[in-house]
Amino acid sequence: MMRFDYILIFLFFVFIFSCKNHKFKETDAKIITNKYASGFEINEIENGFIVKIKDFNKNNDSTLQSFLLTKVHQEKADKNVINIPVRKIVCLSTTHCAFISTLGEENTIKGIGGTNYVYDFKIRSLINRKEIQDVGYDNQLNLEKILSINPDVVFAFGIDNAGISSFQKLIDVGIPVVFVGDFKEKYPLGRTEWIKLFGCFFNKYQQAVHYFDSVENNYHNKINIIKLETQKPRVLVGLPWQGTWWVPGGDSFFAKFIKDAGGDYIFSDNSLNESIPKTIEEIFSQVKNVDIWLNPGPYNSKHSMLYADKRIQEFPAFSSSKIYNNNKRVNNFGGNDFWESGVVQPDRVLNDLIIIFSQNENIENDLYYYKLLE
Amino acid sequence: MKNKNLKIYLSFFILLIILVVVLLWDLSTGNAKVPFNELLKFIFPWEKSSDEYYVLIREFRFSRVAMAFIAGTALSVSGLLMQTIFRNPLAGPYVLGISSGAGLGVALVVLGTGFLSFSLSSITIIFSAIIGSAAVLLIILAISMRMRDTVSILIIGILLSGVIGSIISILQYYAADINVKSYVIWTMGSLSSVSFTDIKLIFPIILLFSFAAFILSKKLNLLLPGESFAITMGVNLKVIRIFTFIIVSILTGVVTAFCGPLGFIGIAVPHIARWLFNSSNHFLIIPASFIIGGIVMLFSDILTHVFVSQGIIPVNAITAIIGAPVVVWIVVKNKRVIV
Amino acid sequence: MKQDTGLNIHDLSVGYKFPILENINLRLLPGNIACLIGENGSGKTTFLNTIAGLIKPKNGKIRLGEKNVTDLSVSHRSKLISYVSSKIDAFVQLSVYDIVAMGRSPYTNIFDLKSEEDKEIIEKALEDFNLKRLTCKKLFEISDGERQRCMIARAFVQQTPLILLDEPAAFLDYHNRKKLIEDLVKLTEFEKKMIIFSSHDIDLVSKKIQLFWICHKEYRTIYEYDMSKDGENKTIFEIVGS
Repeated sequence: MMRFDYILIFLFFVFIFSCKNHKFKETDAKIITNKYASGFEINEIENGFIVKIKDFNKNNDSTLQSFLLTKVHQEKADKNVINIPVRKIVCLSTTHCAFISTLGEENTIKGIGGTNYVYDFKIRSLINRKEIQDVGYDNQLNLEKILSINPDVVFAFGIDNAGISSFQKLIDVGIPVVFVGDFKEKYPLGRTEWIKLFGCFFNKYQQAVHYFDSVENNYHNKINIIKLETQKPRVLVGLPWQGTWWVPGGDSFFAKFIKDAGGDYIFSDNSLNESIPKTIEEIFSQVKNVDIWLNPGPYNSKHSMLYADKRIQEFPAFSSSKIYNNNKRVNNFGGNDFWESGVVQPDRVLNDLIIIFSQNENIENDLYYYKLLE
Repeated sequence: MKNKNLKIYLSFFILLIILVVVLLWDLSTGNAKVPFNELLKFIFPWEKSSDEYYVLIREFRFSRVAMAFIAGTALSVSGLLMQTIFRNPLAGPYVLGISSGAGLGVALVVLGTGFLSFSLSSITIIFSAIIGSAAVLLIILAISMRMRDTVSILIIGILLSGVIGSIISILQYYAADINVKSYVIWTMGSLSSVSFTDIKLIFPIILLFSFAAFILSKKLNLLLPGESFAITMGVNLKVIRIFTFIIVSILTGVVTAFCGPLGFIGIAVPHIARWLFNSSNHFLIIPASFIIGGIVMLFSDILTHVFVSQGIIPVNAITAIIGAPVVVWIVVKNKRVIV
Repeated sequence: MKQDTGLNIHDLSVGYKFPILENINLRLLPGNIACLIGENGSGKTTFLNTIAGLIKPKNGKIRLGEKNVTDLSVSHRSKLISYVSSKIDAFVQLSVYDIVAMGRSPYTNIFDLKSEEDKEIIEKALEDFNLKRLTCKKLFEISDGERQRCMIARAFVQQTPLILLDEPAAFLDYHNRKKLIEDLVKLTEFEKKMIIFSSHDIDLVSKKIQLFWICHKEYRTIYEYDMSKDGENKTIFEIVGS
């Protein structure tokens, strides 16, 4: 009888210790190093992955979120445990749609934040067949709709910690919310690399890696083809608004695109990742000899650019440079594919820019995302 | 008495000197480096300006400075008129919702019709801003005719401002992102979004209507001791209200159309003018507000450039920082609220 | 007696939403001064406001000479009727001189430029009302009594044939009260003005005032009482008491 009591006590303690141990064992995980992206980390473990989202407010030094993705079906003991492959998802950005569509998993999408802006035709037909609902975004985020869909995971993009609080209700109910930070990546390929993260959720990690490697390959091949002796064209980006002209920083992803494509970005002399506000006066006085002008707002013609500010016509660049805008692929509601498939096809974007920077004539048909403004 | 007149002439002379100084200072301020003699060549064209600088100065530097001056003068005169008509020392285009009304007018154009139609022409923008500010002014005037209590009118003005803000928020909800962003930027206020042709259009309008306000000075003075007093002294209240109303709508509407809503100048400057000249006589205070308003706004424009090496601080931030303490100081200094 | 001169009030009813006083029939000839008396709330101020043109009459006519007062334009009326109200908004940065000078507004041009004659009239009024040493002071810097004198001076400067005063002696001390009544009487006699002033303080009225308009609260009308016609030497107390 006594021995039985000891066994009971012993089992009791074992039970308590095992209950306390909610943390998943990270010791067996194999960390996979990313090539370009710093916003996430994948650890491969037996029967799944541990994925971590970094806190981009703290320079990606600390972890914002951590999820255990398991192939072996588990009753959800922990809110951060997700069974993969996921079957129903909601995503709040059209970029996410592009990642998912590339993996061929668009049928799992049951809700999108802003269905009007989706360009991808496969997803559009799902929307038209009412298989995907619009769950709103920003102020209009419809939490109740998301709850009624009851997805396995919600892909959101949180700008800062305040974003987390608006999703707290979902998290409390047991719906995991993943903050996809692709837009914060400094390298174009870094943004694309997030497809690996998405791959984990659909248990298509290898497929995602394969895709990424081929895109990366294409990308670098194109860079290598650029002849070194050609003179780099000077590139201006953007448009003034209300007297202020926001230009991409010298270290931003678009500046990198320009550099990789063989262009000389006018404001490359700084190491800022974000856009820099400059006064229209500054730009007018500092910017000389522009060869190529890119991304002038949402406009489709040179003349309509003047709607932003009449004085643009005084800029020598307006008449002397070639102006291209990345809105060749835009749907009726203004949804721009550049920000959708462009993120998973940076090689195509690069290709466009290389062609543009070659400054040849009659190239419009070769461009995918860009068109010439006249 | 002669002594007093001399003091007044001297004060105006000093103010004009300050104005010229601040004008030149603001002209030399900016993110682009412009040699001073080029500025002088632009203002006094005895010598043809070099091609390099002429367009820069005309379209970007001079236009911005001129707009600052115009905005300061127009809003200050508007504010003064409103303080007299509403018999309220805290009246101003911003507080009573007139600027918001202009904003709503512009919002309907930008958010409603779409980004691409924005600035179809400056005339459209001016028009919608004036209609917006006139509409709000009409409501406030109608209410003020039924209510004598000026504090209540002030409260209603603030509430109206809030209601308009809500309507604009609703418009933003349903508008496309680009429009919302451009509208939000517009509300931050900007003096540098005006072209030289715009200035050529706006400046005469502001001069004309400021002068019109000056012409009303006698009647406005008679309003000061009270409305009953004014009536017995021969003032037709309806007529004076309509004229003032038109002047304020146009002055505020035009400025708001091009610069976005600019706060605090309309309230603070008339108080400064009255304090400086120790009088409420509109024959003195309207020109004084005109000049002081110009000085304050030019100075604010200078400050928007000073704290950052590139780009600028939104001008509304500066006018709030300058204007709010001024209002508090003057009210407290006088211990009672004085119109 | 020509019916066309002076102030003729015919079947007048005054009030805001509802008539406070009705069936008023009164006359005042140039060179006469009437004292409007009655309890608080009997409608004295309402009556004066109506004559001054601030409120529309509910019924009846007010004629000054040949003209119907209600038909006049505001600016024309300001040359015929001046009004000293009992309420004064003091919180204004205007000086005593500014206020008194405002009396000339109906006659100056749009820039309010004053002729030599205008300036003389203003100076005289300032002297008559003992305001010379206060000319530069602002309204809120002086006493209630001084302010009242200032407003009355303004009405004099306005030089209208009819002057209305609502409780003009309210803030004045005894000496100034007496002086004011004497000045008013002098004005009517020498310059043939018509003056109506209200008072609820009976004892101020010196023997110099003969004509009384009594506002009766219960009967809601105004009775005229001319002491010069009444042979007996009744005091005003007895009359009002009845």
